[in-house]
Amino acid sequence: MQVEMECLSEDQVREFIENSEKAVIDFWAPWCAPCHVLHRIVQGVIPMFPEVKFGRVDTQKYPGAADQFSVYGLPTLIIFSNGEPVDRIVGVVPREFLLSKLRSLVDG
Amino acid sequence: MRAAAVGIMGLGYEGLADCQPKFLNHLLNSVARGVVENSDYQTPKSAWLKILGDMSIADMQKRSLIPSNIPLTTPTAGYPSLDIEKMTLKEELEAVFDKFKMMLGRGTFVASINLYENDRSCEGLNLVDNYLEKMRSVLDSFIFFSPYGGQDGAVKSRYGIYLSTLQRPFEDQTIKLEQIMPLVLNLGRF
Repeated sequence: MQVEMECLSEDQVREFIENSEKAVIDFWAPWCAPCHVLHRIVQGVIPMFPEVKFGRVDTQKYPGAADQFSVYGLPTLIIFSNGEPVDRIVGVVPREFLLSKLRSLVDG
Repeated sequence: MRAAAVGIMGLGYEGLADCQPKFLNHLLNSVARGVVENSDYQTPKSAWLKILGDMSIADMQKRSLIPSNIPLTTPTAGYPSLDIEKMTLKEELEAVFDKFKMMLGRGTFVASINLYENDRSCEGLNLVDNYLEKMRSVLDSFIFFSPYGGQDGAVKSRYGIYLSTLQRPFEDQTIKLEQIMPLVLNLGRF
């Protein structure tokens, strides 16, 4: 069974990031087909990075969260370190690419 | 006009991520795409009943639709009519594809692939992928969709695929089951 990511509201997302040394937020919407593909890829790598917290924000439900983080395309992954965004991935990417980004986050 | 709509039970975008089927991934990047959302009708029969609404199998034929392997009855309804409980996915796909070739151009072919969800391996998905590619190669227009996605643990995903030559209305919304048949009826007109 795949690991489920914490679903965050507009109010919860900032607190989630600030309370996590390293975090990844997946901005998505139910109607967005590539979002479902990327979500599955992210789910598959979560167990390899126990030191990183992963959350999801449904931008259809919480459009203010997309505005807050300047998300203009879906899917978008934003990678945070100590509460600050350090990288951003827009669109579906191969698993290996995502792994390299997360290794940089953890090693950096 | 050579048109077809094929519903694949239990195929979600997670299957595309897990197995990387070549043809479906190509479609994902090259045709209109969307997400079917349905949490209430997650068996083949209940999903098709919802998709068809008031339309019977006989009504489909009156409207130039060719029903194929629709799981409303045992054996399934249409051309072919199959006893799917005694078949493998490969046998089901072959039987549907054979009829598809025979009926090509006579109306919009509307088929259900029911056994993929019993065999959600990458091998199973690659089989589906190969047959869809063969169908697409002789079609002018198509909708490949799933009324619901794959099962993870005890729960089936509410999200299925929608890949088509036909742009759907309201692109920033998910597609509901009752919206599929009007799209299928439009397929033969373009």
